[in-house]
Amino acid sequence: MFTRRKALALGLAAPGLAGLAACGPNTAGGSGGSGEEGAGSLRLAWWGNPTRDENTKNVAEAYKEVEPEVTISLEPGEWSGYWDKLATQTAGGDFPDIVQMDEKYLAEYAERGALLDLAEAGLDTADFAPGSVEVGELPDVGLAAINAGLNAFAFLINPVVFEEAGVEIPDDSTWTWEELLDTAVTITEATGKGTYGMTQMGMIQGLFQVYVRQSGQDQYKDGAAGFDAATATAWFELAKKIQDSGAGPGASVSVEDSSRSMDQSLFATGKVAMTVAWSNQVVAHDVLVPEGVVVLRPPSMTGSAADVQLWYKASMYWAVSSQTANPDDAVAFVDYLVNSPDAGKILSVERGVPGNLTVREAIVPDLDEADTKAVDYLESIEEELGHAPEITPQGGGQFEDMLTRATEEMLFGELTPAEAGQRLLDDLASALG
Amino acid sequence: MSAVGELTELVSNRKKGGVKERHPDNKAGLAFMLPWLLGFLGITLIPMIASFALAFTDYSLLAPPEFTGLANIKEMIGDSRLHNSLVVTFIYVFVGTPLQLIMALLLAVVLNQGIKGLSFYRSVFYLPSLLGGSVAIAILWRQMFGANGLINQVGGMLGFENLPGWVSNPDTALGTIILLHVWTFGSPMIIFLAGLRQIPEMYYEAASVDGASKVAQFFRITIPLLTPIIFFNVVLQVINAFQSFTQAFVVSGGTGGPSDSTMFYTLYLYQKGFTQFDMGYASAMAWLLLIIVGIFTAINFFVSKFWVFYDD
Repeated sequence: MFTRRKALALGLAAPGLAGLAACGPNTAGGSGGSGEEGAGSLRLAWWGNPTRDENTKNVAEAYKEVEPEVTISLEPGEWSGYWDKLATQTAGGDFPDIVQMDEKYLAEYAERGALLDLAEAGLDTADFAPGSVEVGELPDVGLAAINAGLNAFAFLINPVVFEEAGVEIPDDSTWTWEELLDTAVTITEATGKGTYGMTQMGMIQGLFQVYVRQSGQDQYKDGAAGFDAATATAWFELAKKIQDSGAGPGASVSVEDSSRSMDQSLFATGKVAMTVAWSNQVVAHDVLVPEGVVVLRPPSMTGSAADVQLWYKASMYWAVSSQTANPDDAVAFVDYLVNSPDAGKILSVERGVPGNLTVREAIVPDLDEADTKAVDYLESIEEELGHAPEITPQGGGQFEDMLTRATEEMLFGELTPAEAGQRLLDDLASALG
Repeated sequence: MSAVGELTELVSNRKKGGVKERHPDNKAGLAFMLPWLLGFLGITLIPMIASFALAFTDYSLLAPPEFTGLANIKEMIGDSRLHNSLVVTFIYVFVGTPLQLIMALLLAVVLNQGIKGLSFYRSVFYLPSLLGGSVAIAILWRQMFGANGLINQVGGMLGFENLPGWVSNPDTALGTIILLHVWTFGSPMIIFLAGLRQIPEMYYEAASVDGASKVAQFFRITIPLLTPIIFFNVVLQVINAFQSFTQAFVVSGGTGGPSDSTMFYTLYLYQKGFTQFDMGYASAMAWLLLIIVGIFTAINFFVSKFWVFYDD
């Protein structure tokens, strides 16, 4: 007789058996299935925005025609949660096969052996612009990542606010930091309450780096801080001047603005005439500002564009996990992403201007107005570039947080600029260990 | 096959009167407990042991942990941001919890007066507790207390000019999060309501016959008889408050800013572990938190002897 107890026993046993079976050695699936013909599935993780997510989906779709055997599963994310997730996945031995990597964290991952040497794995980099491959190289690792695009630091102007204030847009080939401040103060005074000439830039890491480079130093040198307390102090004095002169908003408005999403920011809502960004963000800002943005070089200390000391930064990179089950497939896909004009046409310049010159040539004619602004800017500064900066050393990924903290404490009057400068150096020294 | 075999054997053993007479139901009991037991082992006990071991290592998540002895503890002693995070957390616990409980008790007393639509009000006041720890409410809070938020707009209408951005000013940011915490008084309130229902009506009747005022009744009857419930809520809410994370994380955008004024202990722990790749240090911090919560709970139990009145 089939009793209740027996039924219960079976009910309990069945899932147990299924569970046991799944652990057996003959399991299908599992981690990537290292098939003989290299037929595999790859996981691709990136952070981004809706446009980029769409591009990336399309490019993975298009890859099916090139390599029908390979399936690519997509793991899109947001910048804010991306690194936490990646760190957790790494801890769990669940690192995606291909990841979008940032310069800040490149050394962090590569020097701990998490990334494959792409050069050794046979990635073709022959068509890349001189100097653009090296930005992914680390001494002990090799080519840890290949850039997915290049960009440079830029000032963004909202021409509508300038017009309202009746102020001319400055000549960026000759402007100085003083001129920037004066222009901003004039705009603040000429416009209504709540509108400012510029955003508070004290917590912006990219501009900080431009500033210290103009002082003949850099953010890092030989794996340690590359700037001294005097330069950091001068930077915080500049930030203080932005606040005190009325060129930019007060401390609490600035703090709030810096944590808002791009479309809610003072700049996008027409409350600020000048802000700063990386050139690959020109497109996103251009959409938000009614008449489009004007892209300018940052000011210099000498009033000469030749001394601005900009550099081409890899906007982001592609890297391959050293633990991937299918290194050949993964590298082949990265090769497609960076070397194929077909992929380039899909990805366009959303991840920055392609470092591969053949790809760049293939896509530039079809660009729209906003994309063209970014590309033009990059080309216009090419002659003035300074030397390439050192890659962020391990522990340096937190620099922007340290800069933000020091700037905020200074703006709220808890620290003097000199104390903030010293604090920044101390924090950085302890993070770099 | 073994699982089925064992279970059928178990069943037939019981029918026959069995061999293992003393605890014939043990295996079946264990089988029923298995899901819970696996969860307990897999997501509580083993991780706790692992975290204790990791507290003595340098573990970057990317490379295997390296034993460093007491290095993390030494570093914690000299870590001024950790000290600051403790101060912030203590302010939050020792200002927020009493305010929250007072609020909960007062509303419970009011709701206990037998007003019409009691269940409606109970739900309305309880709602923030359900939502309070959620990301959505924290985002809403940030909007409301921003420089151009609802609070300042209302303030502007009332003639207060130049109000600060409450969440982005280091002097007021922690206060807004404490306020959010106080607002989620619903769950202690429900417990207080249940406790109030337990107090026999005749005490009040006797007191009013003797001419005691409502206030005197509250302090002489309600509070003393409610002390076990108050104690329960104090212990529970103190432990909860020490572990607060979501509100600070969302309101400050994960930074603990402005200038570390909302850097809760748990938030700093999280940053150490997941954004600075220092899981060993984060584990050591987690154990310090356990010790701190343990000490305060022990103090609570010790002090309770002097003020908690059990009606027996």
